[in-house]
Order: sequence, then C-alpha cells, then structure tokens
Amino acid sequence: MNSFDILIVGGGHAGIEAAYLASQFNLKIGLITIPGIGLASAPCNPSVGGVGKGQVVREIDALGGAMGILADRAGIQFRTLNDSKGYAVQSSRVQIDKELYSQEAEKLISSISNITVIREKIFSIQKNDLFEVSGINKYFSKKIILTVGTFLNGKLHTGSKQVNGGRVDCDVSPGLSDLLDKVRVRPQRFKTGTPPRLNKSSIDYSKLEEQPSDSSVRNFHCLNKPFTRYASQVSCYLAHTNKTTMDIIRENKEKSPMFNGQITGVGARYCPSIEDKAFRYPDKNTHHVFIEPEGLNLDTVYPSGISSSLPEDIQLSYVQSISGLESAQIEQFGYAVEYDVVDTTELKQTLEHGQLGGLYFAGQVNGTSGYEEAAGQGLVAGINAALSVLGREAFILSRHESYIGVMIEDLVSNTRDEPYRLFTARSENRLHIREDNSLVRMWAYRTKLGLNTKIDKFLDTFISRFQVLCEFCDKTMVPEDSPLVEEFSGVGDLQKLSKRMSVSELLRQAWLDPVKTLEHVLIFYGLEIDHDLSRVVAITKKYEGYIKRSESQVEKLKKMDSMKINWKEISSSPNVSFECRQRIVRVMPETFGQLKLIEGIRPATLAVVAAKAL
Amino acid sequence: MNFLYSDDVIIACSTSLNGNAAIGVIRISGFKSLSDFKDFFTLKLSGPIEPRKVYFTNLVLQGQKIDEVCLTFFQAPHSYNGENVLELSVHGNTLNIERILALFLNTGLCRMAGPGEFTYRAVKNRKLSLSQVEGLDLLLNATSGFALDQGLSLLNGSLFELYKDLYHLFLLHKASLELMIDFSDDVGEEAARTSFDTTLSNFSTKFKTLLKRVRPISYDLLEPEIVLIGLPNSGKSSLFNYLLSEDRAIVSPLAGTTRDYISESLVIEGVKFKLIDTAGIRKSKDLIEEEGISRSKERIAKSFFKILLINPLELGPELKDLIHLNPDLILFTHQDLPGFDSSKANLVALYPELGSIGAVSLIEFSTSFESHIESQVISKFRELVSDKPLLLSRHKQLILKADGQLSSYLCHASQETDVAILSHELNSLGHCFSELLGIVSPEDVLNSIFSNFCIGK
Repeated sequence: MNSFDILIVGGGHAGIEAAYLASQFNLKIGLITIPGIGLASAPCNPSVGGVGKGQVVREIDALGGAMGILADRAGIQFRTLNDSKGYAVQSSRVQIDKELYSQEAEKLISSISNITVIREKIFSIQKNDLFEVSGINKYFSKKIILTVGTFLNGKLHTGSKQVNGGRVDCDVSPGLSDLLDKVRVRPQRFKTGTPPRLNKSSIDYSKLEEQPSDSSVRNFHCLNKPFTRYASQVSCYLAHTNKTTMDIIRENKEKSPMFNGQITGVGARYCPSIEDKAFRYPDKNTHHVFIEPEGLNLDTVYPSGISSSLPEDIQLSYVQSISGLESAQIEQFGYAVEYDVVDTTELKQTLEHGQLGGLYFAGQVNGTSGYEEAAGQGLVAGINAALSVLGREAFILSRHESYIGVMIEDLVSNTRDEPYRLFTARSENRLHIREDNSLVRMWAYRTKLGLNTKIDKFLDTFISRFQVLCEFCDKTMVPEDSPLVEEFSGVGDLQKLSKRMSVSELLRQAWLDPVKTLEHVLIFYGLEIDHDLSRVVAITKKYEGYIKRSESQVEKLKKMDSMKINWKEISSSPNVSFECRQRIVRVMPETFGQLKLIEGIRPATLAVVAAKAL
Repeated sequence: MNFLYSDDVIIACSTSLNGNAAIGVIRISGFKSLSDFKDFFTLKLSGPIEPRKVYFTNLVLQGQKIDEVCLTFFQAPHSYNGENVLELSVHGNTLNIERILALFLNTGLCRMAGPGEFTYRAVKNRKLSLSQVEGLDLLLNATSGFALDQGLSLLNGSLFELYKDLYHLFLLHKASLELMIDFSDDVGEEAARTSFDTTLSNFSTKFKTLLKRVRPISYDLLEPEIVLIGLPNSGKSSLFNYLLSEDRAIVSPLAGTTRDYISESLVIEGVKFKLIDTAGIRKSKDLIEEEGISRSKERIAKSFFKILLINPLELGPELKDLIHLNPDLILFTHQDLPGFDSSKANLVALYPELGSIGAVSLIEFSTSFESHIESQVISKFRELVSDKPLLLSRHKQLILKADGQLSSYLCHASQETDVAILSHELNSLGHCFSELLGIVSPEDVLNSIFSNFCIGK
C-alpha cells in the first residue's frame, strides 16, 4: 500500500500539475508534501498568467492540466496585458485569492481517487530496483518527480538575519540535498526575493490609480463559460516610488545582503529587487508598484515591484515614503532566498535525468521562476513519467508550437546564469504561439496521449469546427460592391474594397480589426458561431502570411543551426570576448544552434564563428 | 566547385606566369610530412628542416640538377592557410617555373590547385574570415590606391568592425521593442516608448552614414572608364593615341566584343583607368551597325568620365543625342581650320548647355592640355572616393536591401499598432545585417567569392 507507480516530492505548482496529469493514465500516484502548507500555495505574487505566461496557462489547460481550472476558481481580478499591442502578444493575467487557490487545489487533488497525498517531511531517497523514499514511513515507487522548489539547501535572508529554509516559517530538510549527491547541481546558487506584505486597511487608496477587473477577459479553463466569474472581483492599485524611496535604499547599500556580499546567489535580471533597481538605474526614481490583494479574506496586500532583503526598519521607511503608503503597516517583511538548482543540461527533454533514469525534475529546482513555468514543467514531467511507466513513447512539445516547448528546450540545452523567466521574446515563432489558438496548437499533442476525457471530446469538436470555419473564410468571396462592405463602417475607416477578395484576405487588411470583421461577416451570412472560435479563426487568418514567411526563415536558421563547431578552438580565439569564452567553456556547444542559445553570447562572437567555421 | 571538398596536396605558382621575372614562387600545400619531398633537395643538414627558416638548396630530379632555389617550410597551423606549406623561390623564367611544376605534378605527389584553393583552405582552417577573403580579393585585384586601402581595411577587419557597431545599435533597438512587449508593466509604457524612439533614431542615423558609402554609382569604380565620344572624324582617335602616347596604342589595341570600340589602360596619379575610343556614332541603316551603336551608347552611359569631341565644321543631326549623354568634358577640335570660330559660335547659340559644361577649345595636343584632362578626371575620381564608397557588390546590395527594409520598417513603426508584426518586420532588417556579418548562409556567398580568385592564391 506504500508502493506507487509515481511519487512526486513537492506539492507546489509543479507537483500538483505532475500528479494531476499522471493520474489521468490510471496509475497509482503519491504526492508528498510538507505538513502545514496547503497544496499549490503562492508564497510570492498572488497572480497567475502574464506576458508569455498567460499562453503557458492556456497550453496547460488545453493539455488537460489544473492551473487554468484553479485560476478561474480563485480569480479576483482579470486583466489583459498588452491590450493595445496586437493579438499575438496579448496575455491574460489574473490576481488570485491565494487561500482560495490552495483550497481549490486541495479539493481538486483529493477528488482524484488514484492520488494519495502524503504530508510528511522526508529525509532520504535511495534507488534499488524501485525508488525508496523515507520519511516517517517508507514509500516505494517506479518513478520519482522532484518538485522541491527552493528547498534544496535553501537559506533565507532579511538584513543580517539568516535562517535555513525554503520559504518563511518552513525549515529545509537537509536530507533532500543528500539524496541528490549523484545529481550535478549548478555551482552558482540562485536567489529569489519577495516584497514585504502590507496591511490592507493601512493604505490610502485615494492617492493610487485604480485598476478594476476586466470583465472581457476570457477565463483560462476552456470548459468554463468564457466570462463567468467564480469569486467576487476586486481592484488592484498602482503606486509609484519616488526620489525619497530610492535614496533611502541607496543610503543603506551596505545593509543589503545582496550588495554587501552576504548573498552570493544570482537573481533574475528580469525580476529585479528594489535594491537592483536603485543601483542599476541610479538616474531613475519612479518605478511602478502594483498593490495587489492577496485574498478576499486576507488582511494583506502584495506590493509588486519592491521585493527586498533589506533590514526590517529600512523596509518600513522606504515603503512609507511612497505616496498612499505613508501609514502602511508591514505584516510580513520581505526576504531573499538562496537555493541550489539542478544542472538542467543533464536532463532530457522529458525532464528525466540523463544518468539517473526514472528520476524527473520540474519547477524552481530547475532554475526557473514563476508558478506558470513550474506548472508547465510539472505537466511535462508528469506525462512523461506516466508514459514511461506504461512503456510508451516520450511526449515532447516543439518550441515552434508552444512556450512550454521553448522553455524546456532552453533549459536542457544550456546552463543559465540566472533564474529563467519565460517571455515572448524567447520564442522565434511569436506570431503563432498565441493565447487565442492554444487549443488549436495543443490539440494534436493532447490527442497523442490517447485519453478520452471531457476535454478530449471538447477539443475534437472545437478543432473540426475550426477547420470548417477556416475553409469558409478561404472559399467565401466578398465582391467589391458587396453590401457587406457597408457593414465595416463601424469597424475601421469606411473604405471600398479594391477588388473581390476572400474572407481570409479581407481579414488580413491592415485597416480592419480581424475579430470584429469576422463577427460582421458571420452575422451577414446568418451564421451563429461561438465567440472563441470566430476569434481564433480571425486572428489565425490575420497572421497567416507572416507565419508562413517566418516558417521559411526558421527553416534557413535550422540549416545554419545544425552546423558543427569546435568549441575548444572558439574558446581559445583572441577574437572572442573573455566573457563569451567562459560561457562557451561551460556549455561546450557542439553546433552553431547550441552556441546561439547560450545566454549572453554576443552577436560579434556568432559572427566570428559563423564566418570562420565553414 | 568540387575542389572545395578535397584535401589533396596542391601545388601552384603564386607569382605571375605572364612574363619572365627574376623570381617565381611556387607553393605546395597540404602534405602530411616534409620527408615526402626530401629527395628533391640536396640539403645536407644535421637535423630536420626548421619551420620559417630560409634554406638555399639545389632542386634535383633523379640526381639531375634542375634549379637553385630558396626553400621555406611553414608548419601547420602556422602558415597562411593553416596547412603545411612549402614555398620555393625559383628562377622566374616562365619556362623554368612550368618545368618545375610539371616535375612535381608528374611524381603524383600533388595536383594543380584550383582558383583560390589555398585561400579556401585558409577559410576552412579559420585563418581568414569571409570578409577578410573579400578584402584579400580586392587587395589582389585593386587598380587604384583607394581599392588597395579598402581591401586592406577588409583584410584587417575594420569594415567588419563598422558593421558590428551598426549591428549592435540594431540589437539595442530590437531589445527596446521587446522591452515594450514583455516588460512594459515593469518599466512603464512611456519609458518603453521613449527607449524605442531613441534607439531607432540612433540606429537610423548611423545607418545613413553607411548608406552614403553605397550611394548608387552606376559605373565601375574598380576599373573606371574614360570614354571618348563624338561623330566620325571629330578627332577621337588622335586624342586616344595622344593620351596613351602613340607607340603603346599601336602595340596592343584590344578589340571590343563587337569591334565597336578599342580600349587601353591609362594610369593617372597611380589610379588605373580604362580609356575607350568608341566607334563613331552616326545614324546607320545597317542593322548590325545599329546594334553596335546602341551597345556603345549603353556603354557610354555607364562610363565614369565622358569626353565629347566636337568638330564644329562637321555637324550631324546625331550631335544632339551626344550632348544629351551628359559629357563631363567637351572639346572643340580642328580650331586651325577656317570658319571654326563662327561655326562654334553658332553651335553654342544652338546648344546653350555647351557653355555651362565649360567646353574647351582644343588648339593642339599639348602637355598642358593633357594635364587639364587628367586633372579633371582625377578630381572627379577623388571626389567620388572621398566618401569611401564600398566596392564589393555583395556588400552594396545587402546595404541597399537593408535600406529598403529600414524604410518599410520606419513606415510601419509610424502606423502599425500591432507590435508583434512590427517585430516581425524588424527581423527582416536583422537578416541583412546577419548576412553582412556572415552569420547567415555563408555557403551561398562562397562560390561567388572564390570564382574570382586566381590560381596560386
């Protein structure tokens, strides 16, 4: 009874996703989590989604994952980011009630009969024929997925105070690191930080800019009604730092563990602490601070943008220097966590360890930041562990079709200098990897899993309708004198069509909004089509030409990328900068493509290599 | 070009075989061991031949002395192309050089090198970059000091540096666009927009300075042509012969492909020009001759410097066409004949543009007259090269292409609100620079570059 097909260690966002997916294959799943913390807790920002990340949540959802379901249930403020910048880069983000989110996760997981949740601290994992996990009891399993977040040698810093642990009030299990003796850990530790939490009622909201929830943002879970909200909606507020705020931080440089040498771990450039901002941009004093509620019934708000590990008195004084936060009370001080991360170049694209078969890693332990990144990896590890138990072929998402694919290829093909955050610029195929078409992109992948659930049936229907509507757009011709044209007066500038064209061509016209245009067309032809469907078809047609062009460029690049290179020679070349040489020696790239993927490689280096390595 | 893929031992003469000289240099490249060739030399040494030292020795075949030579061994990878190279300085009689080449070829130890094959191997062995090869090509085939300089600047990489700087600015702009998409929440919408505008302006300003260097010049600056035009009997041939000094013109006039012009090299202040005497231009009923004339006109239009000769006493209806070819210099000939002055005055009255061009009356061919023409030619050339125009057509084409992409991008940037599409457009611009820097598809470029190379390089 203590024996499982798959054991997952860690009940965070990666862990529950792995468990939820693996359970769909009717295997026996165990989910081990630290006692006292609910599943899928949100120790940092209380939100799900964001630029690039919203796409990941929808990919997870289309593949049958949990994150979209939970986010909808616990969503208290919805927003579309990049609303005015074109459909391809629009992303949804939802503020979550973090208590509710965790409760929903508990409910979802406990409703699944083949998942056993084990709340125990474990101190050793060994591998014989089966993996043997020891806590209070002993557990056996064919596969192990480690989703231990920041708990590998975690250390917390607030000013000069240092505590061992992966997050506040949770000590670290030293045994967890011992079991990984055989796993190569990156020599450079990573660091992440979180801001102080403020008392909700101590803030003067009249001085802040209100950001209400947007009722037009589609829910994440595809089976949910698009715009039904499950929790009460609240607002976020925008505050700004000022010169006084930044001066307080600059004057206390020697007290910041990040700048006085106490913390040696590297944080994400893309997620800077307020100290980073103060010292990296000495001329800039105005930075955004989003005041985000942590829950409907919680007294705290999360001030996004001012994470810090400064001593407590200094945190209080810089917070109170911000307009609207003059009397703000800190409920919990900000801190930084330093932790070990696995060398992900040792992992396969299934996230299985290359040398230690049957052992999978997912989430922050792989050096990523963000709940969405963690969940995406959890999903991939969960599916692959299950397929491997069943002796089936591995499940690999292409980087040209998903952000999860982009992330995993980036992770396994090179070591990182800093926590990995997903954003749209990491993809070469941004016009295709969008939120609106996540169902279309993921359908074939989900189908390959061979599961016949509600979501599979929904996807099959959706895709066949998608194909029919695409064909309708390609084949239906709009004559230049069509009364239809009159209909567009409310859409863009009224213009006569220059010629007879298909609906697809019409949707590509720069002066028309494709989504509204297709709606008009459908009304004109008396067709009643679901909004989600007409939207994805309209946007797909809009970008079709661009996507084809970039596909041919991708092909060319692929050819170039497969070129073999001699990294030893490059790393001893005087034409290559010292910094680049160091990076090259670490990664030992064998092809031009791998070289290109190394972070921080200068274009000049690429040019030198490309020009010479024929 | 199948030679590109073989690693045979190759041999060639690296100096000119077009005439006898004191010394000829023969190179053998790609052999495994120097001992393959030890029987050819009568060196008596206590140790092995040391690299990069010059040895004087007899070259022998089956005991019979062929020549006295200086031998230098460059050991891989410390040679021009990264392979083992043996360099022989032999007596420079072409017969002697050819006999020695045959001798080595007959042994089967090596084969004749293809054009540019030594250099190709240098590229393969990462001794030279693609840009450097282009520079080398330019350097070796330069016909002016200006082209020599540009060849050298490519060879030592300074032009490459300029491209890199520009590419850097391009990347800064691209980064600001990405910032707008992925991080506008972090940095603020306004700050992101400002950075977008600034980086775009920095990039386009710098790009314009490069663009100046590729302003469309229809004539060939590698071998600028001076063309003499005029009706029959206007004195073109006399001027042609005079400028070249008669004896040279008679020695080897090169016939044009359609026999409609002759040309010769003319060096003015170290710059080599091609002086062309076109066939007389006149209306003709003969179709073949018509064809010849229309070709001449095409050729004239592309010439760097056009000299129109006019005999005011013998005018024809075609003169109008000639004046409209925009000559750089107009000369009135036959000033010694009676009636010249009045005819010339009539002509200038008819074509006022003749005055504005500054037509000169040609009294007689004289040294001062020659220098007048030459100084006009050379000053036009100097003015053109003062912007350091780029000579390599591959680079010119890419930069012009980039210019087109940039204009279309700027247009999009001012109208398009879909940033993802904007970023897509920007990528096309990036591809031009990748090609300039050689990041993309260098194999396409290779063939065209190496086909220009002479054997032995």
